[in-house]
Amino acid sequence: MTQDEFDLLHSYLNETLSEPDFARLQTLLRENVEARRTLRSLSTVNAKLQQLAALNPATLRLLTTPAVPETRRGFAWLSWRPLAAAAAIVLGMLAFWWSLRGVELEVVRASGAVSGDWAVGRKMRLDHLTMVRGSVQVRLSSGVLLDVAAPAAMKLMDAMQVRLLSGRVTAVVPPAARGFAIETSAGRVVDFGTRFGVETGASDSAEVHVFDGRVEVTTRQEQVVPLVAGEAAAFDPVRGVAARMRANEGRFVMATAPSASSHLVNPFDGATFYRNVDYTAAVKAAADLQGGTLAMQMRQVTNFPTFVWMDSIAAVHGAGGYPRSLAGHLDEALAQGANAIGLVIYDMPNRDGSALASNGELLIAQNGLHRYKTDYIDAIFKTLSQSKYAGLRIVMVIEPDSLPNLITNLNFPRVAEAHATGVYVQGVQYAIGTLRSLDNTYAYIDVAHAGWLGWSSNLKPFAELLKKVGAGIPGGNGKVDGFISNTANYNVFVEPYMKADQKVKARQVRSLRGWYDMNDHIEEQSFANALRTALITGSDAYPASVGLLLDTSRNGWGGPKRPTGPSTSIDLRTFVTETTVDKRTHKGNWGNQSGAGIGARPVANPAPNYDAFVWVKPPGQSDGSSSLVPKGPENPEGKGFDRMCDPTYKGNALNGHTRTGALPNAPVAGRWFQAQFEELVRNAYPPF
Amino acid sequence: MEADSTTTAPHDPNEGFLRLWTHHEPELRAFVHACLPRAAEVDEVMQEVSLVAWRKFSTLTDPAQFPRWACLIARYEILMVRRRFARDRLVLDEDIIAKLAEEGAEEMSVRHQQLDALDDCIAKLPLERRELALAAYAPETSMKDIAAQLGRTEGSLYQLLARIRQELLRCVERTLAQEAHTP
Repeated sequence: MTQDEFDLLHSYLNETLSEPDFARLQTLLRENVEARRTLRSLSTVNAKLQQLAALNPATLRLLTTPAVPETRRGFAWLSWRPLAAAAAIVLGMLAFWWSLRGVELEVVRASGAVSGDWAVGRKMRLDHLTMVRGSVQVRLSSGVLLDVAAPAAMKLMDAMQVRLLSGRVTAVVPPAARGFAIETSAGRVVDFGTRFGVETGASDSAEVHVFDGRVEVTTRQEQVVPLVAGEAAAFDPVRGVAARMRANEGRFVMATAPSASSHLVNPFDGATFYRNVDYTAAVKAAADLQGGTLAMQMRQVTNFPTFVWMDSIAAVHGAGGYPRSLAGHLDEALAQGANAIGLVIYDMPNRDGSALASNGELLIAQNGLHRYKTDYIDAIFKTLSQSKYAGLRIVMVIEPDSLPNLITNLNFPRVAEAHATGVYVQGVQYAIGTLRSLDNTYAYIDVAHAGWLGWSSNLKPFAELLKKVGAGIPGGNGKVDGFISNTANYNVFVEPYMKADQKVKARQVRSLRGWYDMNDHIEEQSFANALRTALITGSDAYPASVGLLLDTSRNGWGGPKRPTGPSTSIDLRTFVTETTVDKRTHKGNWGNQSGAGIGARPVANPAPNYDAFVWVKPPGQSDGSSSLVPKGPENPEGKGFDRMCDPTYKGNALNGHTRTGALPNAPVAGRWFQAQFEELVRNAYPPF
Repeated sequence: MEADSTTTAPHDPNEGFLRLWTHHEPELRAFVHACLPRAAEVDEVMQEVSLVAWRKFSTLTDPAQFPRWACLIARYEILMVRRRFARDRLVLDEDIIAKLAEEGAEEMSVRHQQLDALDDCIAKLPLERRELALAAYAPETSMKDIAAQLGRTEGSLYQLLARIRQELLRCVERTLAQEAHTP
C-alpha cells in the first residue's frame, strides 16, 4: 500500500476525510483486499488505545487541567461510559460485564501528580495500570501490595500475576499470596514470600532486586535463578542472567513500613461484612411465618451482618447437619462482594465448663488439645489461607467464656481441669498464633462482660491472665487486635439515666444487693475501657492499638417497659429497678432472656477505643433448651440441658438464686427460636 | 454420583455468557470498529450485540465458536446501524461493510493476537507519544482541547496520531512475525 492510501485510511479513522477523498477510499476498499485488512488492523490499534484510555484513569494525566468536552463536531472520541450506563438500564445483568473487567485493586497510597482518580481507599478494576505521573501503592485482592512509580505500564493478569511492560514496581507479598508472579520480556519472577523490585525497559532486559525473602526467576531459556534477600540480577531475553549485583532498595519505590503490611488497625473501617446466607434465610422464613408490620421489621434484620459460629469441627467442614462449610461461607462472602467476614472460634476442649447448653465436643482427658489444634484450628487455617480469600478481612472472636471461666469458675470440674492443665491458655495461644499468621485475619479475645468480671477482684487477675496469654502467643501479643465484651450476652453499653457511683439516699447505685453487688462497672463501656487500660499498661502490656468490640445483638432493651428517664424514688432498689434499661432479674442470667431486644446496629468506630459494635450472636438463635431435649432429631448433637435456660428454675449461686428470666419452649442452643426472635425485634432499641 | 464438572455446562448460563463476552469483547469491539469508526455507532452496535448474544446464548452449542458466532450477530447489527446512518456523510457503502465484516469474522484469532501484542508495543512507545495517544483517546476529551493545551493545531495532532497508529501497527506486525518464527 502507498503512503497516500495509508493516509486515506487514517483520515477515515480520524473522520477528517473530504467528500472526494471519501469516494477514493470507497473505491480503494472495494477493490483492495490489503486495504481492507489494513483498515481492520488500524481499527484494532484504535480500539486498544481507547480501551486503555477508558479503563485507566492514570492515563488522563497529560492535561494539567481537565479538558471540558465540547460539542463534538463530526469527530467523536469513543467513550464506553454511555454504553455501560445504557447496558445497566436496558438489562441489569449485562451491566455486570463492565464490573467484571480487569483485576480488582484498592488504592492504598498515592503521591505526586496523581489526581482524585487515585483517592486512597478507592477500589477499581483495571486490566492495565499505566502511570505517567506520580506514584501509587495498590493492593490486589490477593493481598499483594504493588508500588508503582511513573513512568510505568503493566498488564494485570489476575490477583496473582502481572506483566510488567515498562518501568519499576515493588511487590510486597503476604504469606497467603506466595507464588505471586511478575512477568517481563526477559523472564518470570515468582515470589516465595518476600519483598522485591522488578524493572524493565524498552530493551526487553529486566532487573530483579530482592529485599526480603526469596524469589525464583525463570528466564526465557527456562533457567531457574533463585535470588535471596540482598541479591539482584540483570536478565535479558537472549543470554538469561546478564549480571549479578547487590540489591538496591533506593532505586525502587518502597512500601513504607506501616503500609508494607496489609493488616489494618481497625478492620471495620470501610468494611462490607458478609451477611450469613443461612441466617438471612432463617430470618426471612421467620418473617413469612409472622406477617404484618413485625414481619417487615424482621426483614430489616437481614440488612446487617452477623458472625458465623465455628462451634465444632463439623462446622468447619459443613458436615453433621451444618448447612455450609467455612469455605462455603467464605465463597458466599466473595460472591456478595463483601471484603470482610466475622467468625467465632469456639471449640475449646472442655468448652464452657461452667455451663451445659453450650459445652463442647472436645475433652481434655480425651486428647482434646491435640484434636483442637490439628482437627479444628489447623483445618480453619487451611481454609483461610487459600489465596482466593486473601482479600477478605477475617475478623475472629476467640473462644467466648474460656479465659473468663478461669477467673471465677474453678469450682466446676471441667474448668478446674482446664486450669490445672493450662489447656484454655494454650488453646487460645495456639488459635491466635496460627490463625493470625495470616495478614488478613484479626483476633479479638472474648472478655466476658461487666456483670461477670467487672469487680476489681475479678478484673485485675483477668488482666494479668490476658497478659500472660498474650506473652505466650507465637509472634507476641501484637497478634491480638483487640477484645470483645458481651458476646451473646444482654448487658448494656451504657445505663443512660444513672451512674455507678451516683447516690440515692447516701447509697451508691452500684451497691444494690442482688443486682450490682458493689460492681465497679454497671455497664460495658466503662468495664471494657478499664480492662483495656489495664492491658496496655504495666509489664507485658499489649500495644495501645488494641481496639474494643461490643456484641449488641441482644442488648437493646426497648419496648414499652424501657424507662424514659431516671426514677424519682428515693429507695435505692426502686430507683435502680425503675431506672435501669436492663430488665433482667439478675445480671448473671444469660439464657433466652425475656423482654430483651436487638441493640445498636453494627457500626465501625462507635465510641473512643471501640473498633465496632457487632452482632456476634445471631438474634433468634437459642441460648439453650428450656427443658431436657434428648439426643435425636431436635438435638442431633446431644447438647446438654442447662437449667439457666429453664424459666421454672429457681436459680443458683451464679444468679443470686433468682428466677432465670428465660423464655419457655426454647429449642437447643443454636437452633431457631421464633418466639425469642419476635421479642428481640419487637423490643429492639433503637427500634426498627 | 457427582457430575463431572469438566463435561457439563456451567450451572449458571449467565456466568458462562459473561465469561465468554468479557474475554472476547475487545476483539469484537475492534471488529465492529473496523466497519464503523464512529464512537456512537460502535457503542450502539456493541450494546445490541451483547443483548442479542445473551438472548440467543442457549443456541450456541460450542463455546469455542463464540467469537465467530458473535461476529455474525455483529455483522447483522452493523448493517442495520449503517442503514440508519446511510444518509450521513462518510458512511461506507453496504457492500464494503459486508466485505469488511465477512473477512473480519475469519480474522478473530489475529485480532486477539494483535490486541495482546499491542500491550507491549504501546508500553514501548516514547513517553510523550504514549501520553498523547492515551490522552487523545480518553473519554470526555477532544482533540481541540488537547491541541489548545499543547499549543498545536488540531491538524498536526491528527497527523501525529496517525504516525503513532502506524508505528504501533508496524510494531504489532513485527511482534507477530517474530512469534510466528519462534519454535
